[in-house]
Order: sequence, then C-alpha cells, then structure tokens
Amino acid sequence: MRLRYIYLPDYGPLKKVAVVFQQNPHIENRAGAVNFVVGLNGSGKSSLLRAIYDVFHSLSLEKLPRFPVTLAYDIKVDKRWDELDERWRGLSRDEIEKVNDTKFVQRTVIFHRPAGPASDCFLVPAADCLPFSKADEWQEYVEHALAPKGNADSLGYYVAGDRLKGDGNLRNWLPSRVLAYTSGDLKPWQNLTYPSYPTDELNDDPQEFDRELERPAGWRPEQEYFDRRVTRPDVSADVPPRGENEPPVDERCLLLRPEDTRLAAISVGIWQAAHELESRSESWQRDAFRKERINEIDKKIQVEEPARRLLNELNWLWPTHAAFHFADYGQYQRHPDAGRCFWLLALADKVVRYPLDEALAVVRLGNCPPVRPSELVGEMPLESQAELNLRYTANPMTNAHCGAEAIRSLFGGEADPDETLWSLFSALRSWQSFGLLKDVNLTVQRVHQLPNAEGEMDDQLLSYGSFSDGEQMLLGRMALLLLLRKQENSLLLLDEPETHFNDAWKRQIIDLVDDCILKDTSTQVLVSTHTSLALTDVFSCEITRLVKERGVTKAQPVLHPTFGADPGRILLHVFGAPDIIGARAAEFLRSKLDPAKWPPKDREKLRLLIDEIGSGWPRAKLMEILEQLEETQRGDMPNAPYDS
Amino acid sequence: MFVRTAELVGATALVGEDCPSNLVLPDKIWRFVWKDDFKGTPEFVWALFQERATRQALGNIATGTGGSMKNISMKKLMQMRVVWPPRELQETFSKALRVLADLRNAVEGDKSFSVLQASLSAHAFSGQLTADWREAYADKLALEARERDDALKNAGPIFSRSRRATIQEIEGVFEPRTDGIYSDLNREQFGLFEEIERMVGGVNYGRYFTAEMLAADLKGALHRHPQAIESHLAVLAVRGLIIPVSRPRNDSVGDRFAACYRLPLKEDDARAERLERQRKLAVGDF
Repeated sequence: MRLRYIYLPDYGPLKKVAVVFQQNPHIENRAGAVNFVVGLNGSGKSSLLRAIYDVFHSLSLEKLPRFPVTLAYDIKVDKRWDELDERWRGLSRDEIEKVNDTKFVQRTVIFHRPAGPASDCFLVPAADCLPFSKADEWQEYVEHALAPKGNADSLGYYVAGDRLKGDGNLRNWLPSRVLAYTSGDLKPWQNLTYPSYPTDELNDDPQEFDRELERPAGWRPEQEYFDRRVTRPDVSADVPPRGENEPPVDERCLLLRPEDTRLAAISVGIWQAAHELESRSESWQRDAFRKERINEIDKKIQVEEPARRLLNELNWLWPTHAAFHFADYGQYQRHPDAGRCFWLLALADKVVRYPLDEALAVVRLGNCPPVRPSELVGEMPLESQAELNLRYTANPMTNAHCGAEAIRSLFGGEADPDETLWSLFSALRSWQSFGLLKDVNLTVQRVHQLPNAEGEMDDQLLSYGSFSDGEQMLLGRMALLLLLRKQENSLLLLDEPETHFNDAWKRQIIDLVDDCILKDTSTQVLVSTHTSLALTDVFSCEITRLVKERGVTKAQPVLHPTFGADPGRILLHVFGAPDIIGARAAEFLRSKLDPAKWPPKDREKLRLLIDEIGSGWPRAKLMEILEQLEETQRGDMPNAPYDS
Repeated sequence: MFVRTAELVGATALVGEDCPSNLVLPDKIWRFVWKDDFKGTPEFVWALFQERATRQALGNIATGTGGSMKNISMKKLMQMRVVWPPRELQETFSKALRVLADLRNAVEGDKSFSVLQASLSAHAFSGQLTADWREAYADKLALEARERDDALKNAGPIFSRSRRATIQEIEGVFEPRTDGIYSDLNREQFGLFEEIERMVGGVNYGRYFTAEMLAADLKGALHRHPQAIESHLAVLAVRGLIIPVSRPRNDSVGDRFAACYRLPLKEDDARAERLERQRKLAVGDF
C-alpha cells in the first residue's frame, strides 16, 4: 500500500489542506514507502495522521468517516484475486507469471467523501496506477472524471457511500492492516475511534428503554466479557469463536496502547529467539553465537538483519524463559482462543498459582527434546469436550526443538516463519484485551558478562522489566516495524516515535524502517517528527511541511535538499529555526563578533574564548579578528621577534 | 640409529638407569657420551631429535643411495647446527618431561590396577577365593546360619520387594536442579535461590521475605545489597521459582497492602491442583 494524496476540506485545525505523498525515484528496489510530516507544535501533524486513521477505521467498519475527505492510495493486488481483470481469473499464480512476469498489479484506489449526502460518496479502484503528482490533477480527476454519477457504470467496481454496508468486496480495497502509534496522548485518538450509535437504530420506544443495558462511556466488549464473568458468573459470557483465517474487523485498524509496545517487544524477543535457537541445539553453537555477538558489539559492526541489530543495541543475547501471567486461570476454557491457551499451559515447564485465581505459566525458550503434544497432554487434565477434541488435532508445535520455536509455531501455525510475528503479537494482544492475560515477561541474558558482587565474571540475566525505560521504548517502538514485515498492503502511522531517544538512535530510525519493512513489504509508513537528524536520511519530496499562517494550516513542499544534508541546514530550512546554534550562544557570540570591541590588549582573552567555542562560522569570524589583532601588534613593534 | 630408511635415520631413545650394563649395541646405533663440561640435558637432546626441523636437517645431510640405505657420518653429525637453549631452560624442560612420564606410568599402572581389582572381585563373589576356607569350616558356618535364621524368625522382619534407591538417586535429591525453570540462572542468582530455600520456612525464618530482609540476614557478597537482591528476586519471580504477593498490614497508618515474596508450595502447582480436582470429581468426592 502506498499513500498518494489526501485532501481535507475541514478537519480540526486543517482547513483545505491538500497533501501529495511522493517518493524519490533514486531509491530503487523498495516495495514500501516512507513519508514524513513535519511542522511546529500545533501545526496539525497529529491531526493529519488521525484523519487518515479515521478514514480507514470507519471504512473497515463499513461506515463513512464523519468529515469530508478525498483520499487516494495504491494497493498491491494479487492477480489471482483481481476481480477487475477477467484475463487472470481462474489461473494459477505460475500460469499468470508465464503470461506476464509479475504476480501483482498496483491499482490506485480513490475514496471521495464530499460534504453532501452519503450517496455522493464513493470508493473506486482505478484500472491501474494513476500518474498524478500534483494536488490539482488529483482533484480535477476526482471531481470531473469520477464524481459525476453517469460515469459509475464505466468503472469496473464502484461502491457508493450509501451502500457500504454488507459489501463483502470492500475489504479487498482497503489496507490489510493499519497500525497507529503515538508517543503522546492517546485520548484524542481513542475518542475518534469509538463508534457513535447509528442514527437509524436509535429509537425512543419506551418499551426498549432499559437502564440495565447502559454502561459507562467508552465501554468495550472485552470489558463486558470480563465484567460479566466477575459480577454474574451464572450468565454465560462465552465469546463466539471467530473464523480461522479472517482477522476480526477491529484488528484491521489497531490503535496501539502503551502496553502494546511491550507486547510487541516481547513478541519480537521470542520470535527472534526461535529463529536463532532452532538451528543451534549444541552448546558449542550457542557459545560461538555469543562470541559473534560480542565481536559485533565491541567492534561496532553494523548487522544487516534489523531485529538482530536492534537487539545488539540493547546487549541482548536471548530470552531464556517467557512467563505468561494469566488473569483467570480457572476460566480460560471460556475464552474463544482456549485451544492455544491449553497448549501453552501444557508446554509450560511450570504453572504457578498466584492469589485470586491468577497463574504464571513459565516456558523455557531454550533447546529441549523435540516437542510431542501427546506427551505434553499427560500433564494437563482435560476438562471439557473442546479440550478432548484438541487432543486429537494435529499440532504445529510437534517436533519443535526449542521452546521459542514451539511458541512461534503455536501462534503462527504452518505459515512462513517470517510472517508469524504478527500472529504471535495479535494473539497475545487479544488475550490481554479480553482480560485473560495480564502480562507477559521474559528473563533475558545479556551478551556481555559483568563482575558480580564477589567481583567474579558472571552472566547478566535480568527480567525484561529491569531494562531501562529507553531500552524498552526503543525495542517496543521498533518492534512495531518488525510486526508489519511481510504484511502486504499495510499502513503504519507513527506520531513522533523518536521522543525519549538519544540522537544516535534517532538517526537510526529511518535506516531501521528501511531494513525492517520497506525493502520487501508493500507498506506505507507515515511518520510525524520533530527531529532534523532523522530527516538527513530522507529525500525532500518525501517530506510534507505543515505551516501555520494566521491560524490556518497549510501544507508546503520542502524545497531544500535534505537527503545527506547537514542536520543544521534541515533545522534552518525545514523547521524554520532562525539559527543553527542555540539562541543563548547566538546572542552571546553576536555581541562578540564586532572587531571594534576587541582592543589589542584583550588578545589573550580572545584566544581563550576561541578555545571554548565549537567549530562553525562564529569561531571562524573570531579567528579572523584575532589574526587582525596580531597583525596590528606586529606592525606596532617592528623589531620584536615573531610571536608564535 | 644412523642408518636404514629415511624415517629411522636419527631416531633417538633415552636409555634409563635400569638398563643392563652389559648391553651390546650394533655399529649403526650410536650412544651419546657427554663430556664433563656438557651444558645440556639428555632429555633435551632426545627431544631435539624428535623435532621436525632437526629431522629435516638430518635428512638433508644423510647420504647413501636407495630408500633403505640412508646413512650419516659421525663427522657430519658433529657439524650440524642445532637450537641450543641455556642450561636452566633445558633443565626445566627435562623436569617437566619426567613429571609427564611419571604421570603416564601412573595412569598405565592404574589401568592394570582396575583390571586386577575387577578380577579379584569376580573371584571373591563367585566364592572361589574362599573355597578352601569354607570347606575347612563348613560345620561352623552351618551352625551360624541356623542361629541367624532363628533370630530373624523371632524378630519378625518383613521382606519387601521394593527396589532400593541407588546411591545416584539418593544423591540426585540433594543435587540442585538445573533444568526447566531452574536453568540459565547466573551463579549469583542460583546461590541466592539456594540460600532462600535453606533459610525461608525454617525454624528461624517465616514464610515471607523481602529483599531488605535478605540483604540484612544473608552472609557473603550480597550482604547489604538490597538492590542487587531485588533485581535477582524479579528474575526468580518471572521464573516461577518464588511468588510475589501483596499482603495486608496490621499497621493502621501505613499502606494497607505491601509487597513480599514466598516460596511456592505443593498446592501452588496449578496443573497438579487441577488434576487433583478432576480426580475428586471422578471418584465422586466433592
């Protein structure tokens, strides 16, 4: 998926704002795209991100967004499923490839929602990728070629705004996943995503007025499930199980809570351990692996693989155990995902009971004898018919050689290991939302050894919670990028992801985005940022600058080249800072730059000042003044020896 | 030996003290006779001739046609230039070599010892060793056996068929576990856990503990290191080796609940507890 264009006539602080998202042609072999929104605080960056999220969130619920908008984006379509093209229908992938060497086609999808009635709105996939690069061209095309009702018949597929409900094909033209993360306040995001009651279902029938059915504002179905179980155990609160392959609607658009980044980080930890440990069953192999990591970290070698590079940054060797903290152990069979829950409990080395029916299941992630589900079941009493059936289901965990691999297979099934990270994360997240899982924790071994209290070298083994805030944040946020790996047609919205990071990490963000997903996944990443450092990795056409003029926000292109530029230049030209250096230094230095203020007797004082100033033009200017002073002095004393 | 095939030219051997003095050597085997002012050790010279560079040099100066007719003249041998470390170094080398030789002898001796012991035990258990003795004292032995049987009958012992635990199994109980949730702890954490298991729940210690309490009572490096202990306890808790709990306090002014840890009991094994519940259901015991 690739964003192309958005027009917002009236959304929060954004009035008549049109943004064209572009990519630089010089960067080749990129399946995905990254774009940036920059601007001062209050310029509407977060609003732009929220508007995009809002559009897709509403559409995924088969509803129209509550504000007028025009949005264009490219979707990668598998030719086998491309309904617009009769030629490929019924052919296998290989057969298509024989006819034409690509398996996929890109189509531009346009969603238009003018201020008028719902019937004026529409969603249209174009026949191919539209070539427009200016806002005028887009708007012209939408309003003149698409909007007139008469043209609808000529389009292969057309969803009118008043017929969104129940259109099974709609989801094929939407991004497969939309993930939004903000390092700021979640409240404005939550408000916009909570659905309002449909007008046609609101009736004033006094018969249906039932205060018993009311719940506090912002109530979620998961809370209802949890609440019923606690307060009314007699009422069955079983959640209907969902289809195996179909992600539920609310999983398409995910607004990430702070605890989700923790889950994402832990999922990445387990997933990477599965990858690194499955082929290293011998202890000498693991020792060699550790030595390699020590070498990489000590010599500051940049590792290709993004997950490993990230873990090296944290001195992370591998997690030894994962601990799943269940909030209601006794009730887990009522959860829709009871099957996998059962197997996880069976796999655990120990399940410790905590007070109030909580339990901790500890799974050793390291190497173990090949997993045999039938043997595991022996430890787990089977209580219900559903569990009895599980006993006979073929299980993907079979023959896993380490605990991490077993967990990965349990959640990811038979899928390509690269694609399983998302499954692991989303399963744990749903367990957590349903109040089944309270927390997940890891004990992690660091790469380096350190002296212990007795002064002897000892392994460093700590719980994930003992990592520093910054380390947890880096891993958590960057794990979001890894989650979308191989998730075609996904969209990641990151609102100031670099807050709390040091400058070295800020600089790495774009490189990680590039390596994690852009290279091989058709994903759009849209980042709002305040960091000039990060933008040195970005082409100016990929940046949209929001500027507030007399209270009105406008989108402006960035004309100054940014790719590979000095961060100071970006500070000046993109963020509109008055100076590269800080205001305090600027004020002080400016007062010192007048040669008239430096009498020859202060020569030594000036020399000392210059030693204290970092390189830059003020320093050069002061050097000049010093040289002049020295020349004057030599002129005064022609017979004096040369003063070095 | 300074004749024969290329591999054997220059082969040397050390002759020990226990060699017979009337040994006769053929003319193609020479004996080194050390001068009075010899600044070296026989062991070093022996090793020198095992050394690859020396052997190559020997090969180069050997004369004689045909693979099996190589020869070296005494004159050429005496002219050979070799590596010659100072005497002290040579003596150190010799000493090490002798220690090694002694060790090897000891090991070889050991082998025969164990073989001999096994043979002796076999003889003893089969009764061959004491056959003559038993024959001589047969009457006395029969009497003693009868007395023993009567005594046992009076005491009334019960012979069970249960398998006796082997020594390894008994020791296994006392050996710390290092598998499953016990694996991959560092030495300090492992030591701390062992210490907790020993102290907590005993005569002088309650069931609950905190890092501060352990820091005050533990001996050794972790004494008065509550922060280090707390981070170790966090790891042990994630492992399920200890259980973090909150408990109400009696103090009416402070917090109503406060955090501490305890060791898991048998009842805290959630799966076992479920099994037990199911068993009760099955036998109708509610």
